[in-house]
Amino acid sequence: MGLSDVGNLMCLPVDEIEPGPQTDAHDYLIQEASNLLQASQRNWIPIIVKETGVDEYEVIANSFVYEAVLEAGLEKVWCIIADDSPDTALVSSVLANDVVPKVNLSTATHKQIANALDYLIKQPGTLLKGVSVATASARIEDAPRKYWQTLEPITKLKCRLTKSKLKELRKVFYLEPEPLPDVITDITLLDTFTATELKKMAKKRGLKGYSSLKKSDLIKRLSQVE
Amino acid sequence: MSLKEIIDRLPEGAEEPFVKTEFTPAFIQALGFTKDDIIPEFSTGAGPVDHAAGRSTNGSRFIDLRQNPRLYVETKGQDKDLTEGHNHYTKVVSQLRRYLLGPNSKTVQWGIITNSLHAQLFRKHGQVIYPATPCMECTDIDAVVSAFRKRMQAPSRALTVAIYNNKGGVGKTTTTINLAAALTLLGKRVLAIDFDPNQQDLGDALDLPPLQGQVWEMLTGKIDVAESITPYKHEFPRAKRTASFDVILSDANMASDFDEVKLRQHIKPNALLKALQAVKQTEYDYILIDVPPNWRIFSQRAVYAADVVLMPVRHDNLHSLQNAGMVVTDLLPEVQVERQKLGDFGPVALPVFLNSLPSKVSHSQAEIMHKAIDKVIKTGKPKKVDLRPYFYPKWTSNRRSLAMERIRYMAHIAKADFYHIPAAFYSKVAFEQYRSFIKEYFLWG
Repeated sequence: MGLSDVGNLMCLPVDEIEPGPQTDAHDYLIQEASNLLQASQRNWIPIIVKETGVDEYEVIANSFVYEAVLEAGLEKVWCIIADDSPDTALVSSVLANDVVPKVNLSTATHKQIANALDYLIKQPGTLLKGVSVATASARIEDAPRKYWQTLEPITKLKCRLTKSKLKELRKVFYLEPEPLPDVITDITLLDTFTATELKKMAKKRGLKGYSSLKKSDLIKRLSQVE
Repeated sequence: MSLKEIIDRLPEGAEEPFVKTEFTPAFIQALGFTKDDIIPEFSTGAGPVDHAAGRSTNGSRFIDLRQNPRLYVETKGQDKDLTEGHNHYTKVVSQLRRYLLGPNSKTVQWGIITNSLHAQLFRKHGQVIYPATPCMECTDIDAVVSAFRKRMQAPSRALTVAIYNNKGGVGKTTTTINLAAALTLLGKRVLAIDFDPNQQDLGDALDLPPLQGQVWEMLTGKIDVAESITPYKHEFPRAKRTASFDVILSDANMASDFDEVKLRQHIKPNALLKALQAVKQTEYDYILIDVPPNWRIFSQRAVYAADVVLMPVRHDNLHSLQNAGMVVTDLLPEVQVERQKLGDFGPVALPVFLNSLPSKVSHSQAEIMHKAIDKVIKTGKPKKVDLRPYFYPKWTSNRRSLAMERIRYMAHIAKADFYHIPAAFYSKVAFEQYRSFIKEYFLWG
């Protein structure tokens, strides 16, 4: 047997453990859980911790259990020692329901987008009341989202997702954008630029006679592959 | 060594590893694959399936490329009873389903479950999975092989969907034309069939006059199906493009001239299935049949011809829920018995969906509906049919989910009817609603 404790179930003193992700559980749940813990004196659902030094640990998941144990005033707490990689921390905290997982909006499928929006809309106190999942997910899916640097362009899709609602979306979406291609011919993507920017693009490509064109005509010119 | 000999040599009650190494590879080869076409423990993205098979092209073998599988085979031991309806059977089928829907399974068209005593073939079309044969006994293994081969050699391009509920007014016609329109916009070839000569709603919704006798002639085998097809075109004035799908309109003659007895004398149960055979193979991706309410001659012929049955229900209509349950417990088995004489499994139901659901349903209204559904699910018990998956597709023994599929009520959808245009062509929001529905039910990805 090696000396590493990773993977083991251990009974550790509470004061060796530092808190990790915060729980947003209601006081009532914590109180009643701690009352039950005082009777049983043992948390059969262990806390997941990582080792940060000699006799030093940090919670990576099940912070609700940790909170209840503290509240109950137990001196020892049952823990599973996990390794200290960020992936482990992420999967553990998601599995423990401590944090809401995020999807990469640059590459997400239709189902992922629709499910994420549906989740947000069903949360109590959501800001997204009146947003249609079908409409919003269809428009987001079709938008040139793989190039988005921020979620801002969503506000231009006319699906009731305004600027003030983006903070809700940030709870479930993140972006890993691709760099813009050198020559852009995608119409939906060209449409996101201003006329001035489009003219600069036309100049760069050596087109002629673009200066008097309207935006829609500029897009038509630029979308034609030379 | 022949397959029969291999089966005879297996020890009685042979366990999974035995069957998997001795029987399954030989079985797959008998279905027309070579040794280089078979990969054991293929990663589907949703767990490893026992065997995957694919076509090797000249120079590159499937076993090296490990891409574009066509067939999955999930093997169990003889100790697991795979008779239809048995506990183990249900488990294996849901396991196979999971694999067939795994991220690496896009190109897979066929799935097989077997334990060397029983075998059943499943077809995957988009993300719809339905049984292609009954669960066959392997006492005559050569018959099983030839039945499977016959189907796998000529997979039909189209999925035939019967849109049915024997309660009227739940939106069958609206669903049919809008699915047809939305699938067309998504690049699919669609044939919509109005199989209700008494109402002729579908033709009316598209502003097309009914046919005069062609359907009768098609169903009695006098003319080819192509002659009864009318193309429906819609022009998008601003985008300057047209979208079109094909329609078989209802037959005005059939509504008035004949009584049911005479119809039965001339139109056999398999009439529609036979008539559609030619176009189903190569012409279309989807054939949608608008089935009349009730359970009489036309509904029976239409459901008989279908691969899957899609049932709209209403959240505020008890009968539409009860009837959906009855379709699964009573009517479909009736048709399946007939289709199984042809070696097919026969039509199966897709999960029902709530049609034109208001955006706000009061809590008490929803509760009444769920209670009614509970009652319907209970009616399936004495008939040994588990109705729950047809109402709550996401419910499992470990997950209490009452989520149901839905299409929202939309003024656009109702309004488009007055203009005689499918709502999915008329309004972008309506199209988006149907598109997300289609992605939930039919299309891959």
